[in-house]
Amino acid sequence: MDWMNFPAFAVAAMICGLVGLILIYSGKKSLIWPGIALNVAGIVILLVFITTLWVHLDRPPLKTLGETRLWYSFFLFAIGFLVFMRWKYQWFLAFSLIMSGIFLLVNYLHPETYSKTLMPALQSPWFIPHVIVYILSYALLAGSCLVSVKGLYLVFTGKSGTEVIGLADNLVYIGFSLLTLGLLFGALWAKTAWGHYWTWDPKETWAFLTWLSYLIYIHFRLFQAYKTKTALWILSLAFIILLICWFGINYLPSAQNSVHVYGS
Amino acid sequence: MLSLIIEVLSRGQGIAKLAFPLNIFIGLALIAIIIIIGTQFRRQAVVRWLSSIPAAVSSISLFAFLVLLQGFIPQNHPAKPGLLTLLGLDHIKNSWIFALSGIYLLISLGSVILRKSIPFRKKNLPFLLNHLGLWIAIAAGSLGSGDLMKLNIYLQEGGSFTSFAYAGDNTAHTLPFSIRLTDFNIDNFPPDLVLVDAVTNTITDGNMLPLTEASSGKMQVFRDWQVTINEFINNAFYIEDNYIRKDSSGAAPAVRISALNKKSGQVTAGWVSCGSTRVQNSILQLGADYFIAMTFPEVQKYSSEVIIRRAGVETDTTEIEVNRPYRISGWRLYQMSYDEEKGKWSEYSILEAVNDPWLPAVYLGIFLMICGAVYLFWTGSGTKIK
Repeated sequence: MDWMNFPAFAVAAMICGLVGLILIYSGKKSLIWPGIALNVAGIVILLVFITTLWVHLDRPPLKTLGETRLWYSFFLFAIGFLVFMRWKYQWFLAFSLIMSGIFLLVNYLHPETYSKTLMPALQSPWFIPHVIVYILSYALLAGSCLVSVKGLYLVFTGKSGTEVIGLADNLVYIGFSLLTLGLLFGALWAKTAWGHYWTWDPKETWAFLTWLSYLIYIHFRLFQAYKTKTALWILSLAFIILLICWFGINYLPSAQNSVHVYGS
Repeated sequence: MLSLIIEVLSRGQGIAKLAFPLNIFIGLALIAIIIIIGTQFRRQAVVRWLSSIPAAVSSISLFAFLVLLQGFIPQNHPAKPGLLTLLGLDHIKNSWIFALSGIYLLISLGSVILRKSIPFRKKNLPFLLNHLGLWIAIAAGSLGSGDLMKLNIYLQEGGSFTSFAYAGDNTAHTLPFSIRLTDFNIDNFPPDLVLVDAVTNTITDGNMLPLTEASSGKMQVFRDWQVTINEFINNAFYIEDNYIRKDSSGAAPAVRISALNKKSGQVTAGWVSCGSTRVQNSILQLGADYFIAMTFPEVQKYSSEVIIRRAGVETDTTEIEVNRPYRISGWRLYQMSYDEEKGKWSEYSILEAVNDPWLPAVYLGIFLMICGAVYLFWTGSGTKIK
């Protein structure tokens, strides 16, 4: 099995996922279990492709960007499904399925990136978990930011905003736990790659800042549960800090020597 | 305020790094303070406040604000000390204000840990994992930073055993082992042939043709041209209008190609090379608008083959590469650098030796936090929503 077979597997997995999702969304009890079964089938199809690719390449397919995107798709799909089973959040399943589909589509449209090079520092078993938990976490926190904007709009129109903040809380807690894991995995990786777990590299500084911002939100919510408006503002600002950490860092004067700025 | 005054009084020199045993005493003192105020004075309003959520929010906010400044102001810019230096803002992580805000954070965090752990309840366990883990990681990481040793070892290929290593300020240290470099290796990714727009000088989108010894005879279409590889030489020198194979220092890859214009039937042929400091580079012009060029080979992997000898212990031969450090008697050896100008012909390698006695404590903190984060992921906020 190699990349020639990829489109067939990707389409099959996505069809299973989508049909499964529609069945689950239909709300009919008799259709939920077939929906779940189809989701499992979709995940298994991706897993089968990865496994056979692994055998074909005679090495773990963790090397190129295309290969890492394949894993993203798989994990997004699988985690979305697991969280759905645990929490019964249908939107989460839909959200992660769309993300997974986007990664599969990018892989289909840009096959030439399969041979892109990875610099030595990135060639590590930590690469995948570090990046995957961060991508998932950023996705969830982006969701919480959308909720906060909606909440602020509700406040603006004279409503309380409390009806959406519970959803924001849940997104933040899950996103924050992944953010914590990403940060800690990064620290453990840094120890292996650069000799120290924390060097106040600009990217690290901003990642830590992002983490602290959501920490403030969580604690603020715990003692000022009724100050919804302030909490929503904190949440929106925290996402701006996250965006600076993700993209903005490349433009900051303080980050010109960062080891995290890749490519020239 | 207090810390700003100290910072100004000390002329913006910041805090000297705490080394053993002073950092141990400070750590123990911190724990003692937390325990004493948490047990003896737990009814006092100030102490109750320290372990409250508002105290947590204020201490995290102060800490975050300082990290934010650090995120915007370039740190450790030497020379001309100005107002920033005086206030400690260009060395925030070593400034008094940062240290005191850290202590405030640790005392507040420590107080709440103590309050939640006495009496111990099972339902508080995840809380304790997160908070205690953070406390340990921050305390051990910051107190231990003074004991961290990062030294560079300079090794010449085929040189003799050495146990000298140098700190950032060039002071020499003797390591408890000695090391010798037998071979330094670099593997490169194969370079690519690309089509460059001669007007904008940018690589045109799309096709690349990777070059390896095995790619002779391979063809690739670039827009209107069909390019065929006639001969690829990994290590070549430019001698009298020709690239000739020669495996010695400074050589560059070169490839002889022919390009057929599919519209006009015209054939252009010649050498293409990315060149090096000792080899001239070449491109192949295709009409007025485009030319074919070779990208520089990118480093895939670099590693040092070394022999490590320690008194009373048998000698070990090993390979040290990026992301694969070698551990020996409390030290970790990292592949750090090499002669970048010479690239794969580098004759020396620089290793970094790191000793961090506080690492196990930091790892304990990280491990507790990972457990706490996994639990948090599983339970979420506990809020029920539709």
